[in-house]
Amino acid sequence: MSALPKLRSASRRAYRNQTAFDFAKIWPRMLVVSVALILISVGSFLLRGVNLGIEFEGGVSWELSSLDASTSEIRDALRPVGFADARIQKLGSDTYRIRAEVEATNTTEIDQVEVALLGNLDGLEAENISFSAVGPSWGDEITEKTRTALIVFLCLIALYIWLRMEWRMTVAALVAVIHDIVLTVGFYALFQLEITPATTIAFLTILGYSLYDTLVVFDKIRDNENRLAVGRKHTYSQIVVISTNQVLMRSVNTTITSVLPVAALLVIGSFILGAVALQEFAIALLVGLIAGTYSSLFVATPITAYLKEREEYWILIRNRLTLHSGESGSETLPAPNLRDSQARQRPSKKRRITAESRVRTTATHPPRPRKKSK
Amino acid sequence: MADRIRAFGRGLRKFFSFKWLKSRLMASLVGVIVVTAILLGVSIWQGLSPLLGLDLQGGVEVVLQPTADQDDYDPDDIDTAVEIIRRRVDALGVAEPDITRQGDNVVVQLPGVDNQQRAIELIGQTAELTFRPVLMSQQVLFASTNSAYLQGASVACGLIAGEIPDELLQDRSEEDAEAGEFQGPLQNPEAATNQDTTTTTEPPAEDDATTTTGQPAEDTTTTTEPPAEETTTSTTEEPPVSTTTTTEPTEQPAEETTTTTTTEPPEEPTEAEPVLNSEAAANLLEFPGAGIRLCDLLNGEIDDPQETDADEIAVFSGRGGLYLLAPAGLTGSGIESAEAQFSGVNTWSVNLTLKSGEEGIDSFNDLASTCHSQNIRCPTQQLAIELDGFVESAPNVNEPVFERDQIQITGGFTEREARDLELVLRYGALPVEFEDPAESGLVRTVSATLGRDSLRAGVIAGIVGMTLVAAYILFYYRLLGALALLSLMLSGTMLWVVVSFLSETRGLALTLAGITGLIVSLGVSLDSNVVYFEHLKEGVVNGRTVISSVSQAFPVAFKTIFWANLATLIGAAILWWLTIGSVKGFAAMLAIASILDLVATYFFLRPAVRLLAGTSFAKRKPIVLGMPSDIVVDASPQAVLSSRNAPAETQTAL
Repeated sequence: MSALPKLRSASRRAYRNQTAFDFAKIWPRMLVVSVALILISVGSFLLRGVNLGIEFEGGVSWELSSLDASTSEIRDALRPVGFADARIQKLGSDTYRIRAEVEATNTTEIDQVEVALLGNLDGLEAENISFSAVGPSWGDEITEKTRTALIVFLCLIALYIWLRMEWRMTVAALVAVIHDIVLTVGFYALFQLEITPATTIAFLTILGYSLYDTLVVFDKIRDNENRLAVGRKHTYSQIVVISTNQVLMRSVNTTITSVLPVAALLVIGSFILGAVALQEFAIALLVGLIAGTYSSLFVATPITAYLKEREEYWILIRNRLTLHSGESGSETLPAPNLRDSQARQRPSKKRRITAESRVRTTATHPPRPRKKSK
Repeated sequence: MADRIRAFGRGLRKFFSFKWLKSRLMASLVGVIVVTAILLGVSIWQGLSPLLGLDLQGGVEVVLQPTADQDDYDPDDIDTAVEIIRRRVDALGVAEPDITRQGDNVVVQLPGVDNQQRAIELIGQTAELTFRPVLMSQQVLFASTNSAYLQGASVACGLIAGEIPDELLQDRSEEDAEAGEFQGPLQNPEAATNQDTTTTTEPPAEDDATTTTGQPAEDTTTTTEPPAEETTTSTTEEPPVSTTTTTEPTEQPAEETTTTTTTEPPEEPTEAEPVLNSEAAANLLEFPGAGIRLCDLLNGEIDDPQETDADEIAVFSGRGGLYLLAPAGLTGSGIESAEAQFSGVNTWSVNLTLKSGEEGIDSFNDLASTCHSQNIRCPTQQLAIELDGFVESAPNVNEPVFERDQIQITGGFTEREARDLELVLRYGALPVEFEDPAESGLVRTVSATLGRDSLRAGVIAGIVGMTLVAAYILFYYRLLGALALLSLMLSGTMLWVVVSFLSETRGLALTLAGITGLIVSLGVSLDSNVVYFEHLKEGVVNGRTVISSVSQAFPVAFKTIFWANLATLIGAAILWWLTIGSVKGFAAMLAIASILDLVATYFFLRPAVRLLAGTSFAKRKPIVLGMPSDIVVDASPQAVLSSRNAPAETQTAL
């Protein structure tokens, strides 16, 4: 009975960007989560390695000549032996080429595939199957150049953020990006998903996305820093929490709008319609998008807060505020978000509403120059 | 009546003063829509559409087989060949090829079928690149002003080949009757016949051509001159005379005639020009080995590049006809880099950098000084760049000495020509010789790698996904959401136009990865709208009216959007410069989409939201903009009073 209005007011708050999650409280927990995820990622990468696709490692190819069948029939024929994700191409009018990621020396698997093809495809003769080893189509040069580009990219982005913001945010943003990279690669290693050029591109996309997300949050923090610092009523962590709350709905909305198409690709495309090739690609994007949002909220911002709190100015403010709050009690406690969490625990409905509106005003609006408050 | 006209005129003037646009906002809004519509119209009218990649649409496949006669290459050579071919294809543009080694073959797949011929042309080039002085070219030979060259050449040809040029003679005289301008050269064959027969009696000259080339060459010098006199003095009816002479000097040593005739022309300088030219031709023919090949050039006999050594004189075809080339002075291995460069209105040039030392600039400068001085080893002053028996370019050498990195090849190239030349210079040779794919018939169309099933699934999923996104945005932001969707459609349309244009001009192909890049950037573009709307809402929640919040929120939001997009652009630029292959295509998409995002946000969303917020409808019911309408309740004095900490709120709310 009471859950509904509660939900209602929560959504109302969210709709007005007036959420008051005390992110600072869950930062330690999220740190544990992140570290655990990173350990799992690194561990599975070291233990299992990544499953590189035929484009990177090469494989084998069969050419089936004078065959009257469709690509999907061939795919179905390959499904029982586990090669439904092979690249099947029609050459000219009646020849098909199947490329699969099998080691050229692995004769058992190769035989299996040939048997499956002969058994499942009508009118295919053994002499019409030719077999050859295939080299990688994504050359070492591309890998090498992409790696160089990635490093240069990170350096330049670091420089960019440093020039526009400051070095602490630079560190935080880079850690967040690297966090995303490690997590995505770890995910691929853990589930042994195949890495193809398409997933590599998806991966690069995610990097850009994650960075964009982080920059938007940082921009808000800078904005609030300039405005709220005048009041000297907030510690840096509080400013970060306020800013995170303010951009929370943006982050949620953006994540929803970018995850929806990808999720549709995954659910409808690969599960319902059975297009296996899209599956790994969509998973890469999905994992990356979620990791990107997560890292900008729970990795980049805490690191910034942690680093900034060690600055002399902010230490002073923090000391002053704790002193102040000790004297005047909870009513003047300058941390609006903390107060809200206290307020929520109170039973009186009336008081809760006032507290809520108070929270909103402090959490979202910059105090004007202090004329009136004195 | 006059009043009416005047009123009409006023109306017209009013219309064209564009006051009806009301404000800059309206102008920007209408402007961006009109520009987009025009771009779309033009691209549809031109029939441009994006080129789909191999994974989505299929394309052409070219299989390169090593030629049967070579068995000494090792497997690594094939891998090197794959890399070189990949670079060549990549340099073509941003099209995403699939180049693999399959057994000992190299399989090249290119998206789209229009490229078929071009693909073969590019991939088929396999031999070594050389720089060779041009001894003579068809262009020079058949240029009417230089007709004396032709004289010399024809005579030489006749002399050396020893063929009885009766047919030639007749043919030429027929032509003569038709076209007056060929007069000079036409009579020479006749004259040549005289001397021709003389030489026919001297078969040795013909046989040991390589050793005794000096002789026939001198012969030809003589032959060139007498005809020149004859043409000036006698009429065309004189052939009988020449036939008489043919019988005459049967056993005459060639040497004698030379001496006599060479002295003759100076005595009777009736026509200065032919003498001069014939002298040049004579010089040319003094060059060992050139004379015989001049004959080949004249007859259009082209050497087979596969059988011609780099240190032989050879006749090759090229852009602008056939060329007679001296032995190679420098090979492609001396090149360090080459780069096409824009050098003025519609003209492109290629900058060439050579390696230092003997195997590079030193040899090149030897060639350059030879050609610059119009030495007999390079009388045309041209230096040919030859690849696989084809003269890619034969630029004039304008300086005797070059700096290693200051060599520029100009010649009014179009961009494509310059880029092709750049390619040729850069990636000259393949380590393995492949059969010509055009001849071996290993060119065929291939279907999409992803298959129709995947494509269909992707399209359905895309439609469903976008519908969900649209529904969500409309639900959350109401009319503003509708504007966001319109803005998205606008930038999507512009994106389509740009991508189609690039497909047409640069061979950009949309692969699954590229499309994902686009969808994600459209997502980011939607995010820009969200950033703006949230700023807007913040203002409203803090008690501003919608319209005042609009003017305050946009600059702040746009700043964020701009800087975040700039970061994306930096990333895209780095990827573009430093990578190759499909990553490059992805970078292009990302950059285009980010720029279009900024354009759509600034020129469409800004005025659209401003105008929408200004309507009385939106003022009455802010909820249609997705703005909370119950602000006043929340900012009630009671609530405000109880929150001492936020005096600013009181101010704005009251």
